Amino acid sequence: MTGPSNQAPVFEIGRIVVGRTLKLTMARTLAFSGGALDEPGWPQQNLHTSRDKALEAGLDAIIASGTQSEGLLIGLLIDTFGDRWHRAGTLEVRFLKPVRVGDSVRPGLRWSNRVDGLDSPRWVADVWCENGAGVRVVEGTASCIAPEDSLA
Amino acid sequence: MEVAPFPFAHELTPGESYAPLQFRISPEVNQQFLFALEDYRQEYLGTHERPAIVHPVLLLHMSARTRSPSFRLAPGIGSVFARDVVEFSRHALVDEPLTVCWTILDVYERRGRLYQALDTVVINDEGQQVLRREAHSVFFTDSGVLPTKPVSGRTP
Repeated sequence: MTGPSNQAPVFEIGRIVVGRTLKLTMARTLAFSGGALDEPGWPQQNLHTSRDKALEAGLDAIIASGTQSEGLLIGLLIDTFGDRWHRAGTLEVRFLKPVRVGDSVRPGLRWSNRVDGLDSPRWVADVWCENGAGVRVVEGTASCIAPEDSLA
Repeated sequence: MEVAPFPFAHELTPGESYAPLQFRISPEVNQQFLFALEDYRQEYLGTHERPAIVHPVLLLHMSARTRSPSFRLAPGIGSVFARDVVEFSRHALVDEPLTVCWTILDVYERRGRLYQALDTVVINDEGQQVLRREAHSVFFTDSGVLPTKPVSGRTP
């Protein structure tokens, strides 16, 4: 993804919106979990950057941080809600399975409800991230006030 | 006088806190995370007229309890997120001073595993809330033995 889609989001209960797929390569995982690039001793040694640390923690391979997948989901929600997400977005997620480095993640959402408020309606969605095999690794719910240009 | 070390993460009880953290996100670190997520929106890069805003995931990253100066895991114990509820309230700007505070909400067992629920708040220099989250983490051990549930009233 290089930026928000030019297509206006469609808010309709039942409609599914999927984001783009990102492969969580070692480079992207190191950028996310290794600490600042100019830190002495970079990368930080943890179970997202070091096989030894992952094995020490009882894992069989390095796993990407769950927050990295959550970040992809947030990207899809910002595509959908625009700037309002930063001021009124709520997200509840459960981390179901770890994502191994090298696997892909794709976020998605399905509109589930519309709650009318004083100003604009708040839209609620079931949200998830799937790995490359189509298995859900993250799921939950998100809500935000709909952007002005989506209102009839 | 010898200073007692901070308690291990799994020993904390409801009402106790991890030490707060003050931080700023530099443009370089913000852009590092844009690469990590392949998400290069203009708002995260800034313009001459508008300063860059911090990618929201960096606020989550910096508000993980592992960032606290007092966070430490006991040998042989690991911990990962199990559930996260986040409410975003306002932008954070690159280079803006921010503070994150963590308070233990609950400690509980489920399916033989020890969980910790944390209230986390990130505020800016004016005391305005940037985000609030309730994060639940699970502790695990390489031996599979459950870490002992802490007893309330323990002196840290």
